[in-house]
Amino acid sequence: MTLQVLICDDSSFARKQMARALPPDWHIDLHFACDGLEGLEQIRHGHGEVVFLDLTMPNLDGYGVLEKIRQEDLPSMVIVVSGDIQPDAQDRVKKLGALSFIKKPIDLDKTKALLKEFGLFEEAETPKKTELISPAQRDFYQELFNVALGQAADRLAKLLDGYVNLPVPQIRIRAVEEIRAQLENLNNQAQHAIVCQDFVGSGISGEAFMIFNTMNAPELAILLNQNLGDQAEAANELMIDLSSILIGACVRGMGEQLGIYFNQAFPSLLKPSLAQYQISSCQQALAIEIHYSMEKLDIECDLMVLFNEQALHQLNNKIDYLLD
Amino acid sequence: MSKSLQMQDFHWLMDILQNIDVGLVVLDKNYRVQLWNAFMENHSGIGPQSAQDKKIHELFPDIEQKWLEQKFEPVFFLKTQAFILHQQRPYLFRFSNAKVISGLAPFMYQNVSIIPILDINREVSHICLIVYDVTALAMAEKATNTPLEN
Repeated sequence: MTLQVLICDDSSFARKQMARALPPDWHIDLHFACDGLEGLEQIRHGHGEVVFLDLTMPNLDGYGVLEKIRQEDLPSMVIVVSGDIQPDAQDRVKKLGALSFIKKPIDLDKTKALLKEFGLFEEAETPKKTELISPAQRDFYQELFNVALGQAADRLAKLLDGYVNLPVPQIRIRAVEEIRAQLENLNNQAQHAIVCQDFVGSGISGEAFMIFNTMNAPELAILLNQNLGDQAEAANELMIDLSSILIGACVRGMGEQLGIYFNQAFPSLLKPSLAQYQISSCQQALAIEIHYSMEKLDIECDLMVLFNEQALHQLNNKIDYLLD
Repeated sequence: MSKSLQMQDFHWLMDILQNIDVGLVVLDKNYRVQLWNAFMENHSGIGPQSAQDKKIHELFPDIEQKWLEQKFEPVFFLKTQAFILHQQRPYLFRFSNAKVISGLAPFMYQNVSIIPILDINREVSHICLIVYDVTALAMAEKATNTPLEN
């Protein structure tokens, strides 16, 4: 049985942030509720084995939900999520049976530690990583992508009316298995859609994934100044358009600094099952992860650019030449 | 292209442009047609002289001008490629299929890639639409009901 997890918060932004803070390789069914009454209803239906609960909500607040859970003896482990939690409020929720609490803004590592502490989540063993890049090379990649995104930022701002917060890319070597599991997991959730696109230049190829929340389609239409028609494919087209822009800006900015012209292939939606793709023989990959947040429009999306070992080897050769 | 263009090179480049089995349309900053290759001429019946300096929606009135120009914007501003995919829109230019026996579909399914063309100052002076005939691919997808790789 998959663990049933409920996020109960009246702010849609907070719900999304909480969902993002959960470990990506945590195999759960995720549910959402917009207020205490709806939350309680979901818990009664068995959707809240673990509940992330906001305190201030309309209709029925967090305290009320905790009281009801106790009265009805519902099988639910509650973690309170709140902006500013006073010591007496902390005592009060603990007395009402809350397991623990998380402070907003939510810290990813603390959340993971908390889930591990209560035995709700176990981290998959990651294979020992050999050093694919040296610290100096890592710094160089970090700088390379900082500059690439910086260059794109003002042009993006002009195009998207200043909506985009300048993101800081995260650069690391990741196990291919782990990335696959993460994408598979996200792709299986109805609220996510993933656009993928390959690119190639000077014999170096890479792939990019753009992860969207499907609920964002109306905001995407505003962002791209398009009409969201009622055709089923309209939302997909908007996601593909924005992907081409964000992937293109990142990849082109990177290529320009290295003197590589990357040609982007046709983008596509990720297939429903990753089993439809050929499994790579490669164990590890360089992953560049960028979180775009367009708070004004309540859009969040993630870009992940991957280079396999062979491409990374070629890139390393190129940058070593520049590092000398 | 490695060497600078010689006159004879120019001739064979033109030959390739005319014979290549993809549609090529070059537009200037005002989105007016500057190049319309033989693929486009053959399938649309519109010759390069008639297409010259026209806007695309003047040649194909069923294309929504605002929508298409929104697609072009990032190509100019960000120098990034834009795409129109047959899964979302079966075609940009409606080219009917006149085949009696071996036709696969009533019109040509298309994937369109829109690329920036940079001038000597590395600014985008033109954009190029590259139109691929993906009818066979689209039909195969319909048969299996899942998107296939290009």
